[in-house]
Amino acid sequence: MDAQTKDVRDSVSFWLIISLVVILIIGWVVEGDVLIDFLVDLVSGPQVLTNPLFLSIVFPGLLYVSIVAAVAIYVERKIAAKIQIRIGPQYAGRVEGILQVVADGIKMAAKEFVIPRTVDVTFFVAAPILSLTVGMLSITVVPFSPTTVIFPFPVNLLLFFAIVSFFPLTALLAGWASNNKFSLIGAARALFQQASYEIPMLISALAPALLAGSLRIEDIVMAQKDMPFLFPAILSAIIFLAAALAETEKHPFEIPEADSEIVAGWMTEYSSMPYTLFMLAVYVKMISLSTLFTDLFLSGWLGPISLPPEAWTVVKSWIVLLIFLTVRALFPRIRIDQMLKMGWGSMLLLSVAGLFLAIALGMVVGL
Amino acid sequence: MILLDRKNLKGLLPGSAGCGLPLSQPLLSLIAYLLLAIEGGIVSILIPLLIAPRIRGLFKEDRFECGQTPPPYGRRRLAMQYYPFLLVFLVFDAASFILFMWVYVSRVYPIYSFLIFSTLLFLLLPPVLLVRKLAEDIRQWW
Repeated sequence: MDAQTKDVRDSVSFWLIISLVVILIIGWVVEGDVLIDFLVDLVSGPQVLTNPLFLSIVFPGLLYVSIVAAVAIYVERKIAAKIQIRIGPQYAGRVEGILQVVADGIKMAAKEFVIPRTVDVTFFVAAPILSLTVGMLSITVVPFSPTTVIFPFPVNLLLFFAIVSFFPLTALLAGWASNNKFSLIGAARALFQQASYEIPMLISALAPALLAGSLRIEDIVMAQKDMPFLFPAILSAIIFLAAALAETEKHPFEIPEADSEIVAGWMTEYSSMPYTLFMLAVYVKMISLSTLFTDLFLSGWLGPISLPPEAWTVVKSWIVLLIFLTVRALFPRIRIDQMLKMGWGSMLLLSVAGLFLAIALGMVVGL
Repeated sequence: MILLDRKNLKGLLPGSAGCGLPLSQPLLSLIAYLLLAIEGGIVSILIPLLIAPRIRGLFKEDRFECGQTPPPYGRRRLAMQYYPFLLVFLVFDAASFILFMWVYVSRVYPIYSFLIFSTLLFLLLPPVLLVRKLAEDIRQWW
């Protein structure tokens, strides 16, 4: 048995043991009464919406983010195709290639996960799992309504940014473990990109927090009863949207992946399901960022017509998501030095200006 | 329905005899969600390792080098012309999190807090001008 096979076998057995331990922990933590509560709530009506297991498994947990991510991938491909005068997915599912994402998922699962002999196997396998976990974790603190949030926390706005800023570190882990120059350059670019967009993002998120006088997203939404913060903090909203695009590494900020320059950036050596996990993590992060944008600037679950609060958040966040996906097809990629120049120049200055503008307009309209 | 009465059902499933953690509801959702996410990732990676065919080839497990023969070491030395950006980012990131404290004092001391925090923002301008100057050196981009 050669060293590579031994490495892979060790790694698989390591992860199998971890997996078993995780299942045991689930069995220990989720005691029987919790399951009974969940089952009883499930058949007894709308109170299931606040059941902890329902929140984490169905909405806004795993099922919701997975389905919306799959739909977002399909819609993104179709929008990009229409804008670039192509056809896009056409055959799978017969009607406009509607089952293309399902077909891709099955294909990826059946593909061989090639582990090059020079990689650091344990970290190489751990990076996609960590990436998915961080991506998934980002949606836990974003409220869809006052009661529909997986983990209510008094300063959840700060917690969200703390979780999201871990993401480039998973890129660095993947890039370093791959032992490949393209991966390493991509990982370094991911770090530099974070260094340029995170400050403008934080400062533009400060504007709605200052207007509401709270770092709790639920309070920020309730402070928008009379007027969404999009109007007093319009400049901050635009900067936040641009920084969120950079966060998701989509065009025009697709610098760490840059297909035509460095193959696939920090994902160069990945194939099969691990590659899919990285992609899924990016889309989940996109969903949580669009929901956060809805909560901060578009008055979240408050709406003019009486609908369930979650419905307002979902509809608004889908519209923001659509803006993300459309912008991706419209702009060419910029270079890393242009990104740094923009992040530390115009974006930073505009975010500070947007903050003062929001304070001034907030005083004028009496917020 | 008598079957849906919680009291009748309590204690039926294994683990309901009180060996679970006395967790609050939010923490329970978070832990369940987190464990499911990790578990989902692990299972997704195990699927191709178990079902996909594993075919050996002479060059298959080599590092990807766009058709070149891979050298022994893949990790290359990176030009660090953007290193000052990371240093300034370190300072600025901490400062921007301090800015969030503005939210809590803004209602109590509106004028003072405005003066203090806007001064903090303007004090950070010189390093920003320095990194902007560095970014204009386009000859060194990778």
